[in-house]
Parts: sequence; C-alpha cells; structure tokens
Amino acid sequence: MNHFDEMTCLLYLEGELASPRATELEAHARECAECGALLRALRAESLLLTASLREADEPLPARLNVRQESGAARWAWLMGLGLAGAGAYMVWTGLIVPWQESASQSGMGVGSLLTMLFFSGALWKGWSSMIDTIQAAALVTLAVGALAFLRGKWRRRTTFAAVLAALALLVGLPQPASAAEVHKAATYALPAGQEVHDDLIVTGDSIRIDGKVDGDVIVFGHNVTVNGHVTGDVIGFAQNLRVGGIVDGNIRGFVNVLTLDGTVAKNVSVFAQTLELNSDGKIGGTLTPFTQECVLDGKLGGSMLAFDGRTDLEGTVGGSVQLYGNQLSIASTAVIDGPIQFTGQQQPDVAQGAHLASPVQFVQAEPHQRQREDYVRTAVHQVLRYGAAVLMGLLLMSVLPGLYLDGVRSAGHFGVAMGVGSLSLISFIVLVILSLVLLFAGVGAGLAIALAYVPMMYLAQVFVGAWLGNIILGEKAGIGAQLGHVALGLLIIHGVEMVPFLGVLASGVILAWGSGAFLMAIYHRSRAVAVVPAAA
Amino acid sequence: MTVDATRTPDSARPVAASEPTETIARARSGDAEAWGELYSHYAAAVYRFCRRVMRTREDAEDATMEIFVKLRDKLGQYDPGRSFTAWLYRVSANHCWDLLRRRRVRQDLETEDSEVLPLEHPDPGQLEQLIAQQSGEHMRTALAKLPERARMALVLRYYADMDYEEIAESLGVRRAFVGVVLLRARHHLREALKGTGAAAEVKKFGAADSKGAS
Repeated sequence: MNHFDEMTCLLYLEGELASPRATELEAHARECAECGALLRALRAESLLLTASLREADEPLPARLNVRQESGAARWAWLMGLGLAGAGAYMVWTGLIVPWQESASQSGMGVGSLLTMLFFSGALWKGWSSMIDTIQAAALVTLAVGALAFLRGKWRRRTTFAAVLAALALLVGLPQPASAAEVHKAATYALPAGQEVHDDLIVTGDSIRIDGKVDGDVIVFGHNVTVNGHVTGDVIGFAQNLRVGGIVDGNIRGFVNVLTLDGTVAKNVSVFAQTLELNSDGKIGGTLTPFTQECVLDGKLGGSMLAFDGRTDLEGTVGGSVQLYGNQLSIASTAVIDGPIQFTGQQQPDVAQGAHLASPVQFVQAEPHQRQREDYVRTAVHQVLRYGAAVLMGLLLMSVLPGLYLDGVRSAGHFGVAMGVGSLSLISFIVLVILSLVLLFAGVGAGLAIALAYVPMMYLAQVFVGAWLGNIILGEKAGIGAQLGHVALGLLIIHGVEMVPFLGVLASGVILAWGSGAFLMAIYHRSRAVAVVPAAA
Repeated sequence: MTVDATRTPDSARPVAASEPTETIARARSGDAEAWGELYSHYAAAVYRFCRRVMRTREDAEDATMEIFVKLRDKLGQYDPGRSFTAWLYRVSANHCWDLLRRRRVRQDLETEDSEVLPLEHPDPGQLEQLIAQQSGEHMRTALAKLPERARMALVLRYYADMDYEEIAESLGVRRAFVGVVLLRARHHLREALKGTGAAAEVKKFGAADSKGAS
C-alpha cells in the first residue's frame, strides 16, 4: 500500500480528514513505521508551535498596562485642563481686555522702541483672535471631557444631574467682584479735595487726578497727570505720565514720556523713551530706568541702576550710580554722594564743578573681549544645562517610563511632532506675553506661566536627545542603556546649540519638535486610558 | 473519532478556561468598570497575539490598542451564546491582517513565489530530530522570518486555536486551501529553523556549561 502524503497526515491530525479516509490512515499508520513516525513528528511540531507561541516571554508593555491608573486621575486631568482654560478666560476678560481697550484708546502709535515693542507686541489686535481660539479650545476640552464622562455613565441620573448642575453653576458664576473702583471714560478727573478710599483703576484718553487716592492707582491713558496725593503705588501705561503730586509708594510703568515734578516716597522703575526728573522732583528710594534718554535734574535719595541710551545727571543722587549705556554727561550742578560706575561706548562727559564723591569709573564696552567672555560664560551655562537635561531624562524614565517611551517614539515622527509642537508653541507664546503683563502687575500667576517654559524646554530636549541617541546607538531597552543614549543625544544637541546663529535656530526647532512629541505622547497615553475608563 | 493529539480543546485557548460571562454582560450594557476588568483580563492575550503576528513591538502595541478600541465599539455585536475568546481573536485577526495587507504590497512580492514551490515529502526521522532540538525562542525567531500569511496562519491555528473555517474567513481564502497554507508555512518554518537552530546550537556549545539541552 502507498504511504500517505504529509498533507493528509496533517489534516488527519487537525481533525479535518473525512472519517472513511481517517480510518484508512489510522489502519495504515499501525502497520507502517514511516507513516507512524511522520505523524509523531508532525504532532510534536504542533505541540511545539502551540507551546512556543503561547509562552509568556515578555511582560505587557507599560503603555498597555494601565491598570494602576485610576479613573479619577483621568478626570482630574481633563477637568484640570478645562478649568485652566476657563481660568485663563476669566483672567483675560477680567483683566487684560480692559487694559487692551485703554491702551488702544491712548493711541500708543509712536514711542520708544521698548514701549513700541511691548505695546505693539502684547496688545497687537491679532492676539485677540488667538485668544478666541484658546477660549474655544478650552470650551471644547470641557465639552469633550463632559461628553466622554457622560458616555460611560449616561444611565446614572445622579451623575447627569450633578454635571448639569455644575455646568449651570459655572455659567451662573457672578463676574469676579473687584474691591477697586473702576472707571472707563474718555476723560476722567478726580478734582482736588475729593478722595477715593480704595484702589483706583482708570482707563481713558485723558486722566487727571488732583484729589487723594487712598490706595494704588492703575492707569491706562494717553495723557495722565497725577497732581494729587496717592498713598499707594502708581502703575501706569501711558503716552505721557506726569506726576506732580505726592506718591507714597512706587511708580512703575510702561510710558513714552515720564515727567516727575512731585515727590515719590519709594522707588521708580520704568520703561520709557524719556524720563525727566525735574528740579522740583524728588524720589525717596531707588531709580531703575530703561530709557532712551534720562534726565535727572531733581533729587534722588537712593541709588540708581540704569540702562539708558543717554543719561544727563544734573541734580542730586544720594546713593551709588551704576549705568549701562551709550553716553553719560554730568553737569556742574550735579551732586553725587556715591560711587559712579559707567559702562558704555563713549567717555563720560563730566563738567567742571560737579560734586562727585569719587571720579567716574568708566568701563569701555569692548565688543571683542566681551564676546570671548560671553562665550566662556555661555559654555559653562551650556554644560550646566546639559547636566540638568540629563537629570530630567533620568527622572522621566524612572517615574513615568511609559510617557518617556511614547515621547521618544513620537519624536521619531518628525513632521507630525513639529506641526503639533509649533502650533502649541504659538498658543504658549500668547500665554507668555500675557504672563509678562501679569508679572509686571505683580500677579504670581504670570511667574508660574513663565516658569512652565523651563521644564518644557528640558522635556523637549530629552525626547529629541533620546531619539537621536537611539538613532546612533540603536534601540535598547532598560534605564541604563536609555540613559546613555539620552546623554549622547543631549551632548550633541548642546554642542549644536553652542554654534552661533545656527544654535538659536536649532534650539527653536528642538523646542517645537520635542514639545510636539511630548503632547503626542500625552495624547497616546490618554488614548490608552480611554480604552479602559475605570479599572477597579 | 480520530486520535486528535494536537487539537487542543477549546478551554486551552490562551486565556483563562472559563470566560467571565457576567463581566462581559455588564460591559455590554455599558458598565465602564466591567470593561476595565475585561481589558485587564484579555490585554496580555491580545498583545501577545499581535506581537506574534506583527513585525515590530511598536506595531504590536499600537495594534493592541486599536483592537481594544474596536472591541469596545463592536461589543454590542458580540453574540453572548458563542465563545467570547473566539470572537476576540477574530476581531484581532481581522485588524492585524488588514494592517499587514496594507504594507504587504511591495514587501512580499518575492516571498509569495515560495508559496507555489512544490513541497518535498519530509524524512520523518530528520523532522523529529529537528523538532527535538528547538526551544521556544528558536521557534519565535524562525517564525518572524516567515512571510505574512504563513506566519498569520500558524498564529491563528496554534495560538488563537481557530478552526479551519475561521482561518479561511480571516485570511480570505477557501476553506480547502487552509491546510495547504498551514503545511507550506510549516515547511517554511523548518527551513528557517535549519538556519537559526544550527547557528544557535553552535553558539550554545561555544558558550558552553550553563545548560544542557533545552
């Protein structure tokens, strides 16, 4: 009798052979050693296949192993984002918009470079449409969060009711009540003899304060004159700000021309084109101007630290003078009790008869030498930043390994990561500019937002660095190997950043690329969790 | 009935013997927590399936996630009267096969040729010897070298324990052809094993001492 072929033997073993043929084969295999051996071998092969395929040879990847992530964390994350958006919205409508309106009212068209930069940058009309986009994004986030939440729990009426109630509450929230007195008008005047027992916030074309304000004055206007008495600070954004009265606190502002005829008890710090401290003017504390032209005819009680184009000292300075600028001239009427240090391009011009405690210490700003020093300093900083970035990488790997791996993988998709990163950076820049404005008004949130840039920068470097290291050394698992790869990649990145010009470009690209990768990783992980909403 | 040594009973599919019917029912009615339990229960099995079928670990991870998204959407279509595990693997197989087919066009033109080569009848003694030498790791390395369809067929049959009907449906071939695909896959695998097996043996004896035969 003929042997059975391998196909038939396999079908027999798989239970796929019709029964008369199967019986035939069984009978044959009992007699035929060769066919028996073939059946045995095939059966062994099947068993080996099953065993080796089903063997648990590697653990479930961290990205899929989401059991430890609780459902609450996800909702916290989504709600946090939504609330942050809502918070940003409130800050915008409550604070920034009024400022913006008044600034455009004050007709800040021409002005010093600095004021131009700040106002045309921070208050550019286009930002408002950007902000609209951010608001829309925040609302969409909230809506998506709520929908995703409801999708799983739609049947639970209590949850539904709670969410609706929360939404209603949110909508019905009263506008943030302010303790300050707020005025919006084309012209505002506080006549002499009248008193405001609170902070005064005024926006208008022409503002005049002759009375008394028992608190801070925050003004936005074209022409602002303060001839009365302010017990707090004066914070001004104006074309012309003239202070002829008494200010018990500080003066801070972005102005085109600041004229001081009155008395400021504390400090003055200002970005301006021109600052004039007239002969009647007095500043009790220190003066920190960033100006094109600074003329000091009056009396300054404390020290002066200035970054000016041109400085004229004609009055009295009680403390030391430290100047960085182009020109310094000291008139014969000047009386300066502290040391004077001037770093600039031109020799200071000191008139005969000026009363100086010590001669002017002049440091010629030599571009070449400074460049070399700067270069060394940058190199040292670069090394420090390199160390910090490696540390950041280690931290990320050990605390959030899944996020790290996802980020590195996302960095591999250069185009998408760049796109996502650039988009998010644009909205981030809006936030940074807002935060600068907030920072100037002394709001902590501004500082917090500005500081968020730092970890983002490092995170971006870690992802791009790890990607680069993996390209060069090949992919390897394990914290030790990965840390080596990250270290190498970061070394290259920091090396490239040292190159003048190209370095700036490179760090911009890396920031966009890496933060894009980071956001994509977050998205991936949120999707992973979305598969498993609530693991008990 | 025939002697059926390799045909593992249904309960031996690579997931727990009894299916968590009650949890499945709850998940079907939209209970998010039950779905979470199901995920924990089946994630490893689905991931391993994808890992065996897909070329890279990344692809396997992505595929696993996508499969669970699909499973969740299609949970309503699952017929509770039938095996959940079988359904799970059917969805997984369809998804992975789609992914592979999309990429296959250029990659596998040359490997398709080998599927029309005539099959030589093996020498049973040599085959037994070859099989006896292998470890699970050798097998998996060799398996990775197979063309997509051959690999897929073996995984569907011996990992997911699908019957010929299900395999035919998943791969889009006639039922009568499934046996041929499987046999050709085995021949391919043996060729690959002759390569890796021998190399690995040499390495093992070179490094010596620690282990005997595995």
